[in-house]
Amino acid sequence: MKAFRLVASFELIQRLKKRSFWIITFLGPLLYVLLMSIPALLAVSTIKETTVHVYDESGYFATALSKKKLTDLRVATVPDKATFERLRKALINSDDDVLLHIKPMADVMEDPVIEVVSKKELGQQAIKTLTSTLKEVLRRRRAAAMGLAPGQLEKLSPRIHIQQRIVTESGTKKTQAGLSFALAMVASILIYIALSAYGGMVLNSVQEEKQNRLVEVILLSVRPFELMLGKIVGIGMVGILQYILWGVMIFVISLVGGLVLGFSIVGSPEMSSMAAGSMGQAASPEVQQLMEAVHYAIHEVNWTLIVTSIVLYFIGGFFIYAALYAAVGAAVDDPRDAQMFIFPLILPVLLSFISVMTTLNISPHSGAIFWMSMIPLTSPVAMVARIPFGVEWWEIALSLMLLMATAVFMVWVAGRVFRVGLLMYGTKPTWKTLWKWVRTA
Amino acid sequence: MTSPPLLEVQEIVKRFGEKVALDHVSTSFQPGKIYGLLGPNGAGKTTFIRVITRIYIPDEGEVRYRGMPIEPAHVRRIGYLPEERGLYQKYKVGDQLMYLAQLKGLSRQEARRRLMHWMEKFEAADWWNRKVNELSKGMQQKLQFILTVVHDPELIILDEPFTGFDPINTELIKDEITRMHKEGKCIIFSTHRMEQVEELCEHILFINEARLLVDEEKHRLKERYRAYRYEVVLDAPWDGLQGGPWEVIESGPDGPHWRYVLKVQDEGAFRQLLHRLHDAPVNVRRIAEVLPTLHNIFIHLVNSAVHESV
Repeated sequence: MKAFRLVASFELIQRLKKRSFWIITFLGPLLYVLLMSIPALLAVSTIKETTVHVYDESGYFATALSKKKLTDLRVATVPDKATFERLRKALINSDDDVLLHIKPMADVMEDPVIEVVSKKELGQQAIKTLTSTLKEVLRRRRAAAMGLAPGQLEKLSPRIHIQQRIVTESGTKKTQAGLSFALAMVASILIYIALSAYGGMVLNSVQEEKQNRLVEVILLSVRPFELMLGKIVGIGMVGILQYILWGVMIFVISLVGGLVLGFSIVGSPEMSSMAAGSMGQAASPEVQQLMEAVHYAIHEVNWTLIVTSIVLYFIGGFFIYAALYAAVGAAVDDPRDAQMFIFPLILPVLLSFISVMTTLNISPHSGAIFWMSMIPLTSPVAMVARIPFGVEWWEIALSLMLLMATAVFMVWVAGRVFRVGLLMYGTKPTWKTLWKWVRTA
Repeated sequence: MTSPPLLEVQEIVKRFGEKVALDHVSTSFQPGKIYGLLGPNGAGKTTFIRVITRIYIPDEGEVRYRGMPIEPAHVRRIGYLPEERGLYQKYKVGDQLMYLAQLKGLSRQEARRRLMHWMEKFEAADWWNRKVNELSKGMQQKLQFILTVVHDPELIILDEPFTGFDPINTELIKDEITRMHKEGKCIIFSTHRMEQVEELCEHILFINEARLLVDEEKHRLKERYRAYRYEVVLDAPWDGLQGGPWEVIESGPDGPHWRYVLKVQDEGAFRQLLHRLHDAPVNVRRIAEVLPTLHNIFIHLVNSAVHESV
């Protein structure tokens, strides 16, 4: 027991002493945010304002368009006597100008033929903006032609939002499917990364001791099983510590960010006027929806259950995978040989992760996901993803029991391979030899 | 009643699948003695060491420590320096020495005190906060030796302890071995370097193909393998040595003198040789028996084992 404590604390402390641990802990989330925002940053930084010269042969659009304010697009009217040919030629020397050519229309009810002519192809976002703007203009024209007042037109596109409610003892309560989905994603990604990353650490730690032959000395004073367990627990604690630090960081960042953002959404006049402008209404439903989601996140989400389940499934899953990794680390001489064994071991986690990504949005309680959340090798990822959508307590209890029992069994199996493998040099083991060690050790 | 030996193995058998690595090996180790464990590569030396250090559990037989079946507490009184050895390359010297010393059962304070003592003795105290990969191979070897003996073990097993050492450090370690020997420690010394075994060991164990072929005092072993060879040094060459119940194996100048090596048939023949030399017309400088070196015995044993198996 004393040896186990020494091994675990040595593994923990040595890792905390590494600079890379702190770099990853503090820069990791920043790096992640940066990585996620690179596409947006790139898009923003490269966009130059494009001038759209409207050559409107129909006569329905030009006046209305010239009054519109569009993102990244500036609308310019063309001189009355300009011909298409002259405008076309003018474009040859310009990168930032496009010609919006609206062909003649018999009447307002005919669908227009529209072309955008430019030296370089226009981006998808700009085409979308133009399309929706033109649609809006034509809708108003047609509404006027049909004799509708502007207010009546709004009534033609009703806003529908389906609120999901879950049955409870006392009645029903609101849910937020989108939020649950986001939570499920985050939880399963956390478990997936934890299992593969910290499992890998256990593998490396065992490999190092096997390669520098310190095992031969260490085994004089420590039982192989204690050594293995010490490593698993020590490194598992590194993982838990890192996640706690990340949790604290995210909490602080979102608290600060939430305050700043919250004020700007509600408080800033341009935001609300912009929202009002685009919707034609004073109270923007988007903002309302966001506020509802925040309210739901704070008051309705069962954080205790989610966090507890992440921790429990991490512990169970980590024991299973770390033990397997430790056994592989002990069995092979060369880290490169380890890959052959690692891939089939990590496959269930990968599989459950992919299933979560693809099917959760369709049905969080479908057959495949249900079984995956029961089978111990896949349940850590699959169950934490299901929990935000609401899972019966007996399902969680059964799945956890299976997980923990498997963890104990795996640690036992791995311990046997570990003991034989540690002192075995010069042979490249196969699955068959590993199985033999389990039976005979 | 004599006290039981420090360590005793009885009829040890260890198999790895089909292969028998140790075949009914029995021997014992006494305090205050240095044992030389010899044998070709793959003969079973490392397996033997792992059985007595309880890393391997034998399939048959028993290991006893001071008369008791060996248990973990006993193993902590053993210091083992394996042949292929290393340290954690990226961790600080002090951190890993403290860790490994505490694993051997020392308290934190005691580990630190003893490590400091040894580090100062080996002029290594200022390496404490350095990482191992910044140290030379010889420095790392010193640290490994310190680790082997830091817990003041009763039984010290050294597997090729001098590889990688320069002559100065070799002497340093030899002095430590001699000192521990005088303190009454039992030392098992596994090596291929015969001259070191000749110099340090009192008792020879020879393992070949899983079997313990030799287990006896060094001088008795040499006696047993004596070949009745005698070296005779005369002032000048003398024909009178030709013809007799012996064979002249070598004859040649030895500085200003002349040296013969004779192989006599038996003790009686040796007496005849003495008589002949008594009447010799030249001065006799030296007569001495040439005992076989361990190297020769080793080669002889391996070769005859090969013959047997053929």
